[in-house]
Amino acid sequence: MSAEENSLTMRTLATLVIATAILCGLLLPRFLSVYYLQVADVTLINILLVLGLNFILGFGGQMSLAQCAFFGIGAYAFTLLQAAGMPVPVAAVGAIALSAAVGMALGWPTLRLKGHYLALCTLAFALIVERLLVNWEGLTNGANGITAIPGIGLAGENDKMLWVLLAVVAIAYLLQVWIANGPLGLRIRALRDDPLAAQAVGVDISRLKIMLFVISAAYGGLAGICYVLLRGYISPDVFSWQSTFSYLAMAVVGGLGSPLGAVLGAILYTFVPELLRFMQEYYFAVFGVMVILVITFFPAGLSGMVLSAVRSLRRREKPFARSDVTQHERAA
Amino acid sequence: MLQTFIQIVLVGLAVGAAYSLVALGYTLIWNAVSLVNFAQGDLVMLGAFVSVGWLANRLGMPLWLNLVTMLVILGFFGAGLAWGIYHPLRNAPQLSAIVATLGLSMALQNIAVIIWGPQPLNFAGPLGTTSVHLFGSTIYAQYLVILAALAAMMAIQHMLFQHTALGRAMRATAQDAEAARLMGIPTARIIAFIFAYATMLAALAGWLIAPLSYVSSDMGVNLSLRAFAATILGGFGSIPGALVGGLAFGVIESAGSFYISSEYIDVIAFGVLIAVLMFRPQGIFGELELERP
Repeated sequence: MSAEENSLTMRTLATLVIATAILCGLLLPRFLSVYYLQVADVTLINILLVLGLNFILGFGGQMSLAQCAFFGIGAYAFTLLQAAGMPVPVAAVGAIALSAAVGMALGWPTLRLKGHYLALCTLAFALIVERLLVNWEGLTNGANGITAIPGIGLAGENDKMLWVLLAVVAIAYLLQVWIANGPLGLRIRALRDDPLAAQAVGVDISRLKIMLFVISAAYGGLAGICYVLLRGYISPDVFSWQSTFSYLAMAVVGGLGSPLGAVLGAILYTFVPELLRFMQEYYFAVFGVMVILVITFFPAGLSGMVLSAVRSLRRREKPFARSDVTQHERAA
Repeated sequence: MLQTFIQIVLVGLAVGAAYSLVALGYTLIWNAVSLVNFAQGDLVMLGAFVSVGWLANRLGMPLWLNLVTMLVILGFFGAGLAWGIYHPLRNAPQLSAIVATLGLSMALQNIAVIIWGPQPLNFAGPLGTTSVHLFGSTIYAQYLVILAALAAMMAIQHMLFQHTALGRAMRATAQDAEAARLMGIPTARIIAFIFAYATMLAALAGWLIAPLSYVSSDMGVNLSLRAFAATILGGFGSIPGALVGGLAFGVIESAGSFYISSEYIDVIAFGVLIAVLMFRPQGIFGELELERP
């Protein structure tokens, strides 16, 4: 986590985040058409997924590519629990609990793997989950998916759903900052920067990694629930293993390990291509090149770019406090 | 019974040979510059499209000229990748470079659609659907061509690496680029050459499997995932590992889909892969790169 995001107190940040969420809730329905409002809703769900990925990949430095699997598990579990007659809150808690449990089950056997080996194992897991969603027709209705999910009656109501999603994302964002700045966050960063040293000072690395898998999976499951509430139907192609690369791109382009980066990365990846639709068939080609350029010229991602812009603005405002700024930077 | 088994193994080996060619590309680039090029599968697609869409359908080139021209074009393209993607990111975090190759993959797939259209192209190849009888079982002749091509490539690669100055420079660069540079080896040029060679291997795989499937913009996606799995199975960074891993993964898929279920073929193949990694986390030929649990 960067100095600027750290230097705000939790209370200031909470005020900022909640104010931004309320502002978005008030302004977006006024300026966006029904179609773009839906894109905004999808963007918020993607923010949630990338925030989840941030725990394990950004903070923990563990290359997990299974986020789309937890997304799918959360969505299907929520749907099927509702179909079994459970009320919405119970089904939601059940779906998150199941995602977290599967996260733990994946985290435990893959503890010894790292780098590409962990990446492939988690990718293989995502692929297996997708195949099961397609082929286990008795449970999931196969490739046709499940329609007419009751939910809370907000499916299709993009403006009302926007408020629900803004609230969920704001809480998820603040929870991530709170965890990252607390004692757990310190241990997580120790794991990322130097696992051996962390172990030497008594950090239980195995437990920590499993915990990261669990939190990450729970965020993914929550995103799945949000998706069901938004759409009212699900089919396996949404949770395809290939979409996991999109989340990875969002996380890296936004700035790894930065909650702000998750927001910016998801907006750039989800919203901007829609704005570039006038380019028609060229736009995904252009977008692929854009990803390469952002990474080449802004290695710290968009959040790093924004934060260094903020920093240089501050420096300009206080020309006599230059030594303070450098000291502050040295501390960071 | 035995005929069926032989057929399954042969088909598995042939499909696996295509995985091996792509996996070798991963391995060579990884050894040289520690980068996983996730666009490797899209280079397979690009090779097939250049060969079928341009050289065969548009220009009507004879087969051998088609292959050579395609390999030369893709070789230059690969060298361009070293210069355009690897070089600017050589000091960036590993993950950034990986995501850049994912961006490249996305760009290539969509550029292919722009150039050659969304409809898959058909390519009969010289052999068409000719079948041959072997040990009492029947398989497409093209499968044997793929296996022969892999064997030939291995022989050529062995000659290149062991008996030429360029091959020695490539091996030195892969082992320790900094030391190689200090010894006067032009490492930047050698790295470009390694990218070119890896790209040609992928393109050759595309040319070889084109007659067995349609040539489409997304044909590389599944192939690259399986080749990546093969690379891991064999042990990352090991050339014999990439070879054996690809063949083994092809046979696992072929046998799994026949004896258990073709719907769950991915579940079986990747399930086996996870199981292998549980017991031998470094892959078959890999060196230990592990953390204590």
